[in-house]
Amino acid sequence: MGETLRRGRERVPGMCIKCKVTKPSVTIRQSLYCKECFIKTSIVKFRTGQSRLRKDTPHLQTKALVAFSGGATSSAMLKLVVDHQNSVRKDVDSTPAYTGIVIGHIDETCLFPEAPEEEIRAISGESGLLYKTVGVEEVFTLAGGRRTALIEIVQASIAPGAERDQFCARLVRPASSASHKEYLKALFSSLGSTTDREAMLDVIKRFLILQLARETGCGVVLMGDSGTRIATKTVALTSRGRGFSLPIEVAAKSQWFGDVSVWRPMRDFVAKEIVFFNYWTGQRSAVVPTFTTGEARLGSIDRLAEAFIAELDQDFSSTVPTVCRTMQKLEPHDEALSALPCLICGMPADDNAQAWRNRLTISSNDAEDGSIRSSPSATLPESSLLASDNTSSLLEIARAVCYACQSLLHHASPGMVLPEFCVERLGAQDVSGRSAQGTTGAQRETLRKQIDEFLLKDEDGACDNSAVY
Amino acid sequence: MASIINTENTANNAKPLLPKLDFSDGSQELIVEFGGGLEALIKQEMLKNVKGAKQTNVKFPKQINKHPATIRDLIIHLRNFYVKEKPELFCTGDKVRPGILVIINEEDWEIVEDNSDKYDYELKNKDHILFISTLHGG
Repeated sequence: MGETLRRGRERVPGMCIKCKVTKPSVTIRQSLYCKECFIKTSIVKFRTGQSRLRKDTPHLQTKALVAFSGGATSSAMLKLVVDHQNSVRKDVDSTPAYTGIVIGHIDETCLFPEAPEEEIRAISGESGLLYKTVGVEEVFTLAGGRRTALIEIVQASIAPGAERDQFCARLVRPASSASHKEYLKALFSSLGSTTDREAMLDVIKRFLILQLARETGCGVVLMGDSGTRIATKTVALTSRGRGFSLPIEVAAKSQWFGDVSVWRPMRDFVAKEIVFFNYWTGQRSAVVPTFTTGEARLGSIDRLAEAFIAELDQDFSSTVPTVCRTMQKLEPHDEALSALPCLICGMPADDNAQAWRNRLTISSNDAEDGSIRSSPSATLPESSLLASDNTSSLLEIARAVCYACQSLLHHASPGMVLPEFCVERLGAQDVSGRSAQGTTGAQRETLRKQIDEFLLKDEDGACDNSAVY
Repeated sequence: MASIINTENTANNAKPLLPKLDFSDGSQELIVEFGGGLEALIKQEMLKNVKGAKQTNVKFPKQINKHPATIRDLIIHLRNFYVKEKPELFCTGDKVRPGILVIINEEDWEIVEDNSDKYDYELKNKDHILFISTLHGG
């Protein structure tokens, strides 16, 4: 027996590592595979990964939403999930992995008119599953179309001599003449850099995908982040100042969003494996445009991080798996798990974010242009004000915003209008069941009271608190 | 190693010199396909849509400077005559940009014998060569 096992592990030079009799067609981290063995290995690896994700909850019976962008990784994931589900159905003794599968897609045509939506719909159609899509601009329509208020950032500055950044916002009533698309376009043009636009799009897409999951009754969202993407995100999110929430944002499994669990079953696959899997199994995928499509490495932090990982991986093919293995060991800090969600990104907002910014941010330039940024109210049409027209209606929101989103606000144009979910998050802050103690808690309570009249109440059929993520 | 590039020029990523293709030692037909967003870099008039795949037929010499033509030579030729702008998004010098995979006749080009350089792969008539980007957004 032992002899057989040993022989099974031996490599035959120049032959497939698995079957040992066929000439290899692909090399993955110095291991050679023939086409058939590579496809089988990929399927087995995915199923093993699924079992690992279900280890804590083996009897979990829920529907899953496949977050489907149409790109290579989510297309491969769709094929693997469907294949797994069907294979289990054939086996009478075992229960399917999920009680149902729904494809969730965010239509980004509003931002990228060239987005291949027809192609994406066709690819998803091949699976025969329910396909739910929502336009990215729909982030400005919530709670069944009943809109309460939007948050307008009117001030982001470090006043000379001040201890910290000031972020002031006010509640505005959505103008009936402006469409959702106009709001969305204005939001993105208010942001200071491509990196910030990418960050905001990530936030909006995550929110909409979670909304789709809730609407369709899915308890699990499957995100198509490959190992290569996880490695890129690790570098990019750290660079963007998201270290506090990083363990949650790249976790194989995260319960941060409460009622919906987010899984990343593709993290065991590097980009090369996904390309070959799709190529050999005939799985089509689309090229999904981004803000940096056709740009070189300096287009944004994400682009630079991706180039950095790709260049390292070219000479050291274990780069991506090493980063991913390290990330697996990373766990969110207790403070992060008990922190309140940032009103913009919904990720944990560190109470000490302000102190960090004071220590790390060079504020001289900001102090100079602070005078320009600090008097924006005169430019606003009076009719847009919901609250009273004196300055006391301004909300001081710095403590409700995480470090990375503070940086984002800092470089945004005054007058930027954020989606309604930001108001919901502000409103939920004192009742979310997470710790908010001492003066910070008191400040948040004051903040919540200020906006209380603009929030949808439960009896109005509004979403529960879990929906604020 | 025979190559049609001028190494001095490629050192600073300038456009490599390319002598006029010499077909006196015979020619070969290659099918070159682009995917993962790379097709957007190529002059559209050069591409045809074959069952959804964006590809082009390239007539290429069998020999370059009395040595068999290699994929390195092809990459430079594509860069000079097929890429419409921003050649750095396709290759740096005579090497493809990191994050771009090359699949030759449905197999990984990194499968090479005796530790030879994958860029020294000698092209054969009717070879199907796919350049595919793994980079986010193409």
